[in-house]
Amino acid sequence: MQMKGRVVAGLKNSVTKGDVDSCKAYAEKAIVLEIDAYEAIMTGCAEGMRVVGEKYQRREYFIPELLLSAEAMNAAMDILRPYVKETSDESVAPKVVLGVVEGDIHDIGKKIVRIIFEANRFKVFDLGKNVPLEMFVNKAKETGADVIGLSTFITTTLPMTKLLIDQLKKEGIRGKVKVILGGAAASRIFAEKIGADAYAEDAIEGVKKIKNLLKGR
Amino acid sequence: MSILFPINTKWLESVHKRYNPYEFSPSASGDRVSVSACSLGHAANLFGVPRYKVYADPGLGVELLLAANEFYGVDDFAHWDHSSMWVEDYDGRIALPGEYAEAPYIERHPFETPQDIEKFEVKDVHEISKGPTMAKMWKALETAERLLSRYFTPWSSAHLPYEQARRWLGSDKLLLWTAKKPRLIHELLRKVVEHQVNCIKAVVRKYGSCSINTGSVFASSEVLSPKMCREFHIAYLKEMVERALQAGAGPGIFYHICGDHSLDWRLHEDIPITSSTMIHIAYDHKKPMNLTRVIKVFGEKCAIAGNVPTDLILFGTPRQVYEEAKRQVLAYKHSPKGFHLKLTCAIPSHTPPVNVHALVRAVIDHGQLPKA
Repeated sequence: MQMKGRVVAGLKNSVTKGDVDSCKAYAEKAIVLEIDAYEAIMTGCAEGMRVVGEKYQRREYFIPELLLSAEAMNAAMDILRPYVKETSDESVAPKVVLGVVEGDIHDIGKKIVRIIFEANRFKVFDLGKNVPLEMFVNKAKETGADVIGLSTFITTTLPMTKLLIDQLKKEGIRGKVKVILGGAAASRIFAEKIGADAYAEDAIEGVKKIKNLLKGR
Repeated sequence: MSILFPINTKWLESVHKRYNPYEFSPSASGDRVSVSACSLGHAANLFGVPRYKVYADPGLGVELLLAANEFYGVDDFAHWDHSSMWVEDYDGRIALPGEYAEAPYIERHPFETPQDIEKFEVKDVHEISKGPTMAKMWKALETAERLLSRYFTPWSSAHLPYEQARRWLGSDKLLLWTAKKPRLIHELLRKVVEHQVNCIKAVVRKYGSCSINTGSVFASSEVLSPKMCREFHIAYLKEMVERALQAGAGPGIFYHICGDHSLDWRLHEDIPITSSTMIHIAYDHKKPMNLTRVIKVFGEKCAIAGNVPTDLILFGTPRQVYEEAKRQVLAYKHSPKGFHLKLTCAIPSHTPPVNVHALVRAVIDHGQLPKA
């Protein structure tokens, strides 16, 4: 029991420090000790990433450190994932279609959002950058997504977010899928103006807002 | 044959007085605050020309930008450049903007591996001069020289070294390796500076001098810690500008310090400031920077630019734009070395023209300065 706690704490600390080698070593130890892989991911890796996200929000960590931690987490996940048993929890994870709207190729912020969302057990369908509106709509239909997360870094592509909401209405799925905006160019006022469900200033706030939006679902 | 009529020489004369890169100073003009707002993409929209054309044909870009500036009566000539420069010179690939993209973007970065960075050799001035990016710059500069005649002031395009490193390596790898392989990123940045200085030298060799226009959104407080900012951004920017000045560029320097600089804007006190420098610090978190703070630190040393939000000019009413521009002009126009009204960043191409008119009107109505 003590050993299990030590391994999980080791995973968490290694993710927080962005130490890839140490993360791999703890993940392998978890397999040898037959620690439940899902628990190791959730209470070790994801918990470490949650700490990293908070440090990022408090501006103690910046994007380079955050990417380093994500790399460490992914290294451990690659080892642990094949040992994860199907759980009922997985099926209720929020499904989020994520992308940077067409005309915008700035995707570093969106990548951070993906990392934090996945660390919070969201099922993310990342469409990448410069994504045409129909791809968002089609992916949301295909996956039965709960949320579409739109990122736009530049002011010029902001109007695309409104066009997406109009398109979702036309397709008759606006009531089924929530729309959340992020990115440097977006704002709470703009999100309200175009009829989006929420705006998040960063990934951590995004997690909170999505959980709120889907409460009682 | 050009689609435009000849440029109004009275306008050229007035711009030259108010916004001369060799003299960013209110004492040079003595009449009112200067203002600028236009971009290549917006000029293309204004004249109903597809946006990719102003990047594919730099001569057309310069011509339309000048005509747009004259149309609005703003105080700026034409600087042709974009945010994907110097990528093709090292076998990267860029794409021209389609219906939605604002400007050219990078499809393939030149470098992928640490070995790529270690092995690559910076092109010398001669090679740069013959390269694909400079071929376009030459066209732009030659067109500007032809149209502006004695008012022409050559410019160079060497953005912040950390920004150019992003163009060559891509954001993910640059940021990850900044934390993981700092020595490698320092090596890359040393090569970037060498390259950027060579680009500036190429223009200096042809024209005898040129202004230094540099900026980026990438090395900002949203991305780098202040410590990283000092180590990976400020140190190399400083070196680049110092070497460019030694090579004969300047004295005109325009620093467009774009993006959120809430944590690091004071670090820019270390960068070179000449007799004709203008600095623009755009954002404090997500809000436009309060320029009163900037004026306190930089106002005695150089001219200050800023800071009407781009989302306001795109989505606001003419009245809202006018009121915000008026507020800023009245608050900042007495900055000791001059104030130049600009937007927080490049104007969105679909901005309603009447909003640019509102911006200019606010300056005409409220930007009067006492006679020098």
